[in-house]
Amino acid sequence: MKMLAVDYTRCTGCRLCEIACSLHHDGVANPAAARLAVIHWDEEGLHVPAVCQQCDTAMCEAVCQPRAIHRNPGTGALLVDSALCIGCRMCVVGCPYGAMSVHPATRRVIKCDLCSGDPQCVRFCETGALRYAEPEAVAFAKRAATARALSGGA
Amino acid sequence: MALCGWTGRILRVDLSSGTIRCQDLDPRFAEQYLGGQGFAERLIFDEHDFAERDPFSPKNVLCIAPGALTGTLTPGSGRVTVAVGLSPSLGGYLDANAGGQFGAELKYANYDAIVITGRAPHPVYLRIADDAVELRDARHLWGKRVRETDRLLQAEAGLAQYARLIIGPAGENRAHGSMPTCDLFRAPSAGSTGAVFGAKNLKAIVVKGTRGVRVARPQDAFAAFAAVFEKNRAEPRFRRFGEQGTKWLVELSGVLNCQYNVQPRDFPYANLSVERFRKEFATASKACHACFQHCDHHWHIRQGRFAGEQGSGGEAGTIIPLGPACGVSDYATILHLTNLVNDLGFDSIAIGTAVATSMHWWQEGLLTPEDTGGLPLEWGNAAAQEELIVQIAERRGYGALLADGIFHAARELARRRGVEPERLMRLIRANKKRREVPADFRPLKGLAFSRGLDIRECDVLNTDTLLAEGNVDYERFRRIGIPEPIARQWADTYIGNPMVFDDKSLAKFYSDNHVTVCNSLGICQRFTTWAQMRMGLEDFAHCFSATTGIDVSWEDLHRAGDRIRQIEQAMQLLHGFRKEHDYFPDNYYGVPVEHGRFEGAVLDREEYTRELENLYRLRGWDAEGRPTRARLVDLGLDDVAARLEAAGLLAPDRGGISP
Repeated sequence: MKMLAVDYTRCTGCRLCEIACSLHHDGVANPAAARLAVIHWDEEGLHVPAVCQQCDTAMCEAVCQPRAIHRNPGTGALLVDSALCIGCRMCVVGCPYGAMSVHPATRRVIKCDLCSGDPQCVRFCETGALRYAEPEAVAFAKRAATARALSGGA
Repeated sequence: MALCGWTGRILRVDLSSGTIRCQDLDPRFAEQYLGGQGFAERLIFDEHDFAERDPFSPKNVLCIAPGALTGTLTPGSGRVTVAVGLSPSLGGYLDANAGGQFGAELKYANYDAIVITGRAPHPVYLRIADDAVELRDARHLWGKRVRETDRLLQAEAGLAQYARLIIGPAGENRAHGSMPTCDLFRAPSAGSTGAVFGAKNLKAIVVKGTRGVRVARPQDAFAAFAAVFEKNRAEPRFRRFGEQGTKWLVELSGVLNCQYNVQPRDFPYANLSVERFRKEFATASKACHACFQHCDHHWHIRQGRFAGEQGSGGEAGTIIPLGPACGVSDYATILHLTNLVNDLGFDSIAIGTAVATSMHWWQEGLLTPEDTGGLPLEWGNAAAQEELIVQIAERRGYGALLADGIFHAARELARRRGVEPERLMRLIRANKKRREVPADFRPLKGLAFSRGLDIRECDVLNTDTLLAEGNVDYERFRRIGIPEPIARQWADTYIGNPMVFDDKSLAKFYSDNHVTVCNSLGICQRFTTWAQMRMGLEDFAHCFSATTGIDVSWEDLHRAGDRIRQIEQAMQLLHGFRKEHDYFPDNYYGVPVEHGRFEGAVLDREEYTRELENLYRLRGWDAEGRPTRARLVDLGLDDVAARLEAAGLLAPDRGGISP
């Protein structure tokens, strides 16, 4: 099962991920309605995409009393069933990564659904700050980069 | 039906009365003028009182307009136009544009333009959160620099992750070369628009939007984006902009601009190599809204006097005027000065020109320690340069003289010296519309022609770098997005030869329309033909059609560009600009470049005039640059023709000239 992996050091703050996400889900270009957000600190030149990690033990799922959050077995994405959601927003509070948000127009909670396995944010990320890959590959890349830094190698 | 692409609302703010109202956007108006520059030009033409000659009058109209496609998925579409009816430094209409997030956030709040008139009774800032728009007291922010103001506004405005335009002391003190700094590091950098903010007592505009921009055909928009994405990524220059920004131009064009006319052979250009910047200072690539090219870098100064300082920005148009133009070659110092001008709210080209020209006057003995209060303005004295820049922002000492503009300073110094003003004026590198020119373009005819006429920032965002390079043929024209019939026409001309003046009017006509369309759609020039990237008018048409649902061809957009340019000419004529202002000062012509790679190159006035009059002809103007009724009517500008006729500025009717 692939994961949406973030390398914030590569994020330029262009927000194409937010635009693509909202356009794909709502047909409207509206970062405030995107299922991910790039948090920025301009003075420090810091841009950090906040995305859902589709946790194995998911707090959003655990706190949801009406059991409106289910996992898609194909992609592993946790999905909100809007017919069951009562709008208590406990999942927004409960998520340790701030990945749940509230849609500015519908006021319902929204979250990343991995675009059924073809995340549009990744498609439009030129630098690779967002990748959709197997966790093992992400782990190895991280390990290799750390090893390179520690060894002072090329 | 609800508009797509545009959001359907124009915000009108009268600072004198504090009235804020919302006006519906007429869809026909939108289609004719597109957005951004086009909206600003037409809204200002309709609203500005051309009899008022004081740029600091409450009557002066300020317009801020994101592009038609800003906020959407269109590549590089994050630009916002900042325009004034009467620019303090030019004495005519002016627009500039910037990247960052401001334009997009304004669209997300659902405004296609803001029109600002009047003068607030005390300093205020405009706070926009979707429908909630209010003027708030800014007395406690007055006098503060941009970053400090921003920190305070972040704490008090209550708008997480907002976008902002903020003036610093430069704008507050109505200094020449001031601008509202956009998102800390972006610059709508021309014409002293910051001084108009200051005169209006408008310290800042902060905006956060959550309503979004409707897109008519999202799938088509995705496809249009993907097409541009793929072909631009295949272009070698794409990587170059992404990795080096425009800093790779420093070594190239710095040669044309070191200490202005002086150009010493032993200047240490190697210090300013882009490799050095990347290795020693750059920490991360940064981008404006919706841009996958990310030509900006965040940087840290790790050692020396300015250790610990960080910032973004520093285009060639900043590095050159603040560095080699003033004889400064230390990269850390230039980056420090880059931060300083952003923080004071200065256009780096205008301020670099003011300092470099002063240094040149100093060298020539036309500026003395008595004038500068002892400040030694020798080439390369960065400490004196920094002090002078702060003086200009704060209107102190010799800086107070420059705060009223370099031409004003020249006249005053000439009076003190008892010499002809011309002796000082000839060292100012600017065209007759008083727009500073950051380098000596005499060898490159297309660029020289453009710079002689233009009012906008004289860098790659608004010029035709295409014309600066040779070996451009039909295939190359096509590949970078020149439409087929135009490319075919050009292939038989001298357009591809930068050293020859012939046919540059043809290129300029097309280029000006192209640039006008870019600025009106909000697309950054750096994606397009004009930076030799592969997004041309045909791509704009695809993106525009997918976004707005209105199917247009590239010819339609080209025509819209022409329409907007006619309005601009009408405004400049009403402001008193004439054919004579479409030139460089006389000493730019007939004088060969003294040394360097282009030694001996001359700009010929007769050739220049020939191309100028041909450009007028292509625009449907007479030999004096006055629009003809036939062309205006053809473009649906009957009312503009009537207004020019009433002012005696319409070309005498001779049956009209067909486009």
